[in-house]
Amino acid sequence: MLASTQLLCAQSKRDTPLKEINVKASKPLSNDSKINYFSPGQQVTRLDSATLAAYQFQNLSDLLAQKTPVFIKSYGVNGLATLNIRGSSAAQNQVLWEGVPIQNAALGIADLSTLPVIMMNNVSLVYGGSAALWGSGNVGGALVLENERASFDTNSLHFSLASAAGSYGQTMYSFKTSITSGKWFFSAAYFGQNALNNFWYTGLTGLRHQLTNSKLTGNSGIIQLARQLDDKSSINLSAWYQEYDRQIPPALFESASYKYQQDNSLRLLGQWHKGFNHLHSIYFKSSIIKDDIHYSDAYVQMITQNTCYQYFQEAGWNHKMEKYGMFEFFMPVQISWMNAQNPTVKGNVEQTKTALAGSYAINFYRHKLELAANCRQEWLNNTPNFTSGANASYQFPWWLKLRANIQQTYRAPSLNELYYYPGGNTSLKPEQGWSTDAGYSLNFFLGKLEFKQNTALFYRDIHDWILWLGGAVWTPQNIAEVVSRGAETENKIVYSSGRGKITIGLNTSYVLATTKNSYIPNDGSIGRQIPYSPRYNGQLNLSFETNYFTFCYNETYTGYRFITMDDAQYLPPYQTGNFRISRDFIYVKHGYQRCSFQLSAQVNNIWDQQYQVVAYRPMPGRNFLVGLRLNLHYFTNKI
Amino acid sequence: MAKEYRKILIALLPLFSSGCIKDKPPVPENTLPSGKPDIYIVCEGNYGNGNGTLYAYNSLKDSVYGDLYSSANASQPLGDVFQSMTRIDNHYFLVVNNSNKIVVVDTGTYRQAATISIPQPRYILQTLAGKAYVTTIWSSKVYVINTSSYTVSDTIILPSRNPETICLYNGYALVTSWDTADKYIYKVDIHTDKITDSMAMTGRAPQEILTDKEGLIWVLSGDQPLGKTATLTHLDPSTGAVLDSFTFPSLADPIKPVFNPTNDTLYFIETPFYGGTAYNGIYRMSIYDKALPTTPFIAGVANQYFYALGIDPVDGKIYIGDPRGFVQQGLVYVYRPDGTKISQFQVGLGPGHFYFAAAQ
Repeated sequence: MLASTQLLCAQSKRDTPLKEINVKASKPLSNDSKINYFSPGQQVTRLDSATLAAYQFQNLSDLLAQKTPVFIKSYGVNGLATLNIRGSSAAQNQVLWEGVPIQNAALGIADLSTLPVIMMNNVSLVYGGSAALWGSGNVGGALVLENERASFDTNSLHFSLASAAGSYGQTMYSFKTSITSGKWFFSAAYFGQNALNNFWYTGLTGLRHQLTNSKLTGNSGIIQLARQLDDKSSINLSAWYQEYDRQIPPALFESASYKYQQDNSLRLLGQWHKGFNHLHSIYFKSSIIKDDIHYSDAYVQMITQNTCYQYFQEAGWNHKMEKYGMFEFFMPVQISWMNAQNPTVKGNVEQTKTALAGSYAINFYRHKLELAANCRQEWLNNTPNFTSGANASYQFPWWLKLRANIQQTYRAPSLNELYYYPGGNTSLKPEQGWSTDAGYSLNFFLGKLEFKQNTALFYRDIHDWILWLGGAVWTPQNIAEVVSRGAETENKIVYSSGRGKITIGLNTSYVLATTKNSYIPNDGSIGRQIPYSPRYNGQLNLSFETNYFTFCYNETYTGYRFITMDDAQYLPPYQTGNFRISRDFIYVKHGYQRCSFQLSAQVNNIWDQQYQVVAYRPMPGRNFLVGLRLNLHYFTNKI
Repeated sequence: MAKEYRKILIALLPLFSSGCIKDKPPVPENTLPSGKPDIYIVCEGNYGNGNGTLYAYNSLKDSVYGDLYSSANASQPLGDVFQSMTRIDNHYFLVVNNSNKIVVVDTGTYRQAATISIPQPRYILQTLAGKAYVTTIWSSKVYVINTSSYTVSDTIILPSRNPETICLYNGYALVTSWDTADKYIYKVDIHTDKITDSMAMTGRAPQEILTDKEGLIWVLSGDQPLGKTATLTHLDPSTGAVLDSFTFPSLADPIKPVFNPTNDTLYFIETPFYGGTAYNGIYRMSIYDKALPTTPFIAGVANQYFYALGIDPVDGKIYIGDPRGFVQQGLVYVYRPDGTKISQFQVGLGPGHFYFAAAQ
């Protein structure tokens, strides 16, 4: 019950005389204790299962761009897509899978365009840096991805099969299953996609061109096997493999492109958890990740192969102290390396991050006031680095929750930033600074209307910001102090009746991320907005749902993005509309079996906007996608 | 009911706290020169961002103009990595490396007259009337183009990759090959477009070639970031005999050598891409010196390096381009021949070369 609570509304139908009631129930935001217990004052957006289902044929970059007030920097179709939270750089955000950082160790970033939504059961976005809790790289925030939580002591089978086809040769197919049988749990998911992406776009001269060299083939599969060892312990093994073959289309300033990239990733994870009684538990997780990027450009006869490895392990002990709160000690170790076979490094290179961390959480006044403090002593190779932070929330009255958060934060340079050949800079210092934010959550009812609002104000000051500079040779340098401040809001009004539900959502983001100081002589970037960080960003989401029918409309606005540090060049704002409609056909044989079909259709970029997120990388115009999904559920009583 | 109003009021609070900064930035002013500027600045732009630009400077009026191509061609961008420019007859040939093209513009109006598609072009040199050679990076090809019809007429295949700069000597083109596996320059008959001979340098990766007032050749070789120490070779092109050779310190990365107006003093830049002060600045040496200079004539400071160097053939003023990291508009510093600074002005992204109208 320490977890953040969500309001579940059980409302009366129009023709019943019963007065509507509000039922307050505890539902953990995540499987991760770091979110559930030790981040009461941090803004966390959890994307619910209905939202994930609506984006089952898309990747995380589309989902986040349309549903959260963050900016996704997308280099167009088949290009890199990275996360920008509150004016952060791509490498300043963590992407965690079951608590394991999965950013490419060489690049320090995760490509969201290669992470299909369907692979995950829980997606949470944690705003604001907290390196003490999450470790190096947590400057802007964290994207937390989780698979289905293993459940035991039932016999159940869930199976879904889906397929979609759409414009520009898009075809997608997926299956997802989970089986529980006594002490065993098994789940698997697969997503395959192909696309020609040969859409028409307007070139620099105003003429229409068809995109070339833009084929995509992607396969992603994940399996999870869990065994309950006894009443209080379990072991869980997961394997996630994905491969993407993508042609890189020409930028608008190129007449043709012969670029090709192949990405392969294998992620293996083992987790063990044991509870001793209701007060003590320990856990251990261990993971190894191999990321392989093969890039070639036949036009200039360039071929590069970049393979990097990452080993991560974390052992933790969680202790609840009845009236005196809860603490958790954990020891994460992360080793990243590249060997001499890589042409992009000279010799074997390695980076080790070892840490001792502790978190403490306590609540008062029956969870009205929740406090948490975190600290971490981390050794980056042999260099110590201490970070700490604290956050709190206060629920007063029941419909209003206040939050505050202050955290030290830092990011160690990636392997490429240190060792890339040529250009890597071994004398780079970690980026470090402070991140603070405060805000509130509102949740109340006016008749059949439910109002939800999250508002956050933030301020972040990062020193030794790392930026790649150069012409003939690009070299990362600690160049500046960058200050980000601004506000985010997430607003939702829900009208529910017996017939259905209407939801109006509005997310807004205002980010002023400017260079405060710089080591570069005569630097023209002082006081200027940093590149590719829009000041204004927002989404309007409308939906209408009944038991069988769902209609969703999304309108996304992204403001001016500067291309250069001195704001001399910029891209205009863009606004896209996306529409989705689905119809469910539900067949129930008896109480323990359920079979349903869903037919869906979506129109992306419905107003056919010609736009670029990143300069000279055209984005697709209006396009269509039709999908079909079959769901089977079978379960029995607890055995 | 008062409580409900309070909730709504709180919910509306964000509406009153946003919209602090006007989002729309000022539209940058692009101007065309009213008269004939005497100096053009080739601004590479930021690799992959398609923002190479051509700027001009009128030293008499102390006026800067740019972006010339965009201004004269309906706001069209020039392209990605604007490498070099050369005047041939009444046209400027603008070599846009990563856009794989040469853009031909009128010298008076800067309007586009033609484009020539060539993979990764670097430099262009007129060899005969109606004919020019174009070097390329990543391949071993030198393209022969017809400068009247703007077409590729032939290719010359070098034994190694990255043909770079060219100079003319006695009916031949001497072509460097900036390949770390190579140490030769190649002698090409400009009438037959055939390689007739090669000359060995003392260092690998010959990059830049110049002719001094004695008619002798200076070749700057090396690729410090790729571990090839820079060398400067002084040779007699008539015999291929190496007259002198200078080896730079292993950490020095000399680039963009130019001669003064009398062709007896060689200036070059040393660029510390890692942001230090060692081997950072403009260096110069007489063609009669027997050692490389060890101290800069104009020193760079920490976190700054120079990337363009030109000497006005009329008055000997020194023009230096500071790309400021290639992430913002560059600066050009103007110095007197004695090394005292006169002025500075802002240009496009990544100033890489200067082109002096009087040099044609």
